[in-house]
Amino acid sequence: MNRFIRTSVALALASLLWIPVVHTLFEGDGDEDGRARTRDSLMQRQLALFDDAASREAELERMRGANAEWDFMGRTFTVLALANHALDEPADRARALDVMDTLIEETLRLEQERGQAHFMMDYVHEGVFVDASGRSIFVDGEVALMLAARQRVSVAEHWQAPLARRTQLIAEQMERGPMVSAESYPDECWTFCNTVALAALRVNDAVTGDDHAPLLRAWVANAKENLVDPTTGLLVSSFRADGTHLDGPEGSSIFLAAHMLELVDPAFARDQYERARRELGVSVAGFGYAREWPDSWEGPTDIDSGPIVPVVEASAGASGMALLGAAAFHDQAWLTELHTSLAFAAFPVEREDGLRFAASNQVGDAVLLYSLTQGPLFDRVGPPPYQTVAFGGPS
Amino acid sequence: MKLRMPRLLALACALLAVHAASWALGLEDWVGMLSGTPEPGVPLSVAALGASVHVLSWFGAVVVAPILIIAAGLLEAATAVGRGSETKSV
Repeated sequence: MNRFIRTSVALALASLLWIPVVHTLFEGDGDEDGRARTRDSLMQRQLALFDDAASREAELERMRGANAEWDFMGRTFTVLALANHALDEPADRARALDVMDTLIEETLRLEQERGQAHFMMDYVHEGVFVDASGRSIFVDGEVALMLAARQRVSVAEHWQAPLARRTQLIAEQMERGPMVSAESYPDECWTFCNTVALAALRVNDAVTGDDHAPLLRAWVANAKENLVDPTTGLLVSSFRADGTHLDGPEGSSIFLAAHMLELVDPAFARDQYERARRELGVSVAGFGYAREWPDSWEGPTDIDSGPIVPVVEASAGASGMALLGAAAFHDQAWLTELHTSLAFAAFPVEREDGLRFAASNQVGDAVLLYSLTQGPLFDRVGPPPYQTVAFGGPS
Repeated sequence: MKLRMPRLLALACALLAVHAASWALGLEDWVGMLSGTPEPGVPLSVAALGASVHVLSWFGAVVVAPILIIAAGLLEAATAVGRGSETKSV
């Protein structure tokens, strides 16, 4: 046998031997203990970042340079993760509440001083909102969820009025919309933002005893009829105020939407997760990742999808949100594979002040942290039928 | 006797060395490009190049280098077996 053929055969055999076992090098970070270590270290880093004003400012500026939304969403997911942490670890509750309060106060101050557009992409200025309020459900929904989560941990009198005002704005705007939805950008409704707003209403109701059940039911009924991609059965990502579909199903949106819908309609939420897992989820050689689009749909690579790895079509944005979906729906096998991929390809950097992922940024790390703290907040809201849950314990 | 490193092994060592150099140069911090957040103060094209070098060198070190090492081992083993059978037939 000549040398070329012998070498080729040896390389092929070596590949067959090595590739199936590469994941074992990173699996330690993907199991339950590994995820707990990642959670604790990420939490340490997020809190350290909060204490170090200069580093935090630099990180926020770095993200804002790419997308001002990330500055805002980083706050939301940090607050949600802290709410879970506060409920799970009573000893840390005071510290967590303090950070949550400061983040919310700062966010509301910036919104008041600079307008909602401060947290949005520039194209918000290129059109006019169809709804007369001119408000963005992207900002209102996440602010309401932050406030409601904070109140679910421990009711503070000074947050009652801001939460009541925000939930009223959300509910009125959604009720006015032909799709029972509100705009995130001018004539652009995003499923991501509307499902966050629905979850905010549910958490609010658990805190205050309000009842938004008719609106929640109306949203789901309309979504099933008008906002579902006919090929995959997945919710589309964005649509006009009149219901015309814009972007089809997207991994960077659907996993989060399914998670938020757990509080609204658990059966529909699970159906959406399972469809997303089937259409977008990939498991190969012990690794897991998510694609941004199903086979039947292709959109442009954009700020939401993040870079798409050619051939395998792995999307950073979709895979990040898939971690949240897999955790929320207790999909342990895929969750382990996704975390194995994270350890392999997201470049974890462990320093004295905790863990960060070099391939990520603050918002990415905050989403990951939220996924790792999953449970306590939503458990204390409880699934429908809609009932006020007594404060202080799970339903 | 002159010791000579098999080519595949030499290539594996080179891949590992490139990644070690990339890590030592701090290019790990540049892979934020993957999430659309390039290193501040670094021109975008340079940051993209640095990130690509680090990512590719990492995959080279973790995926490709071990394959080269295993292949080198297989070839050595095959050669040794070949020599053994030649000796017996003589």
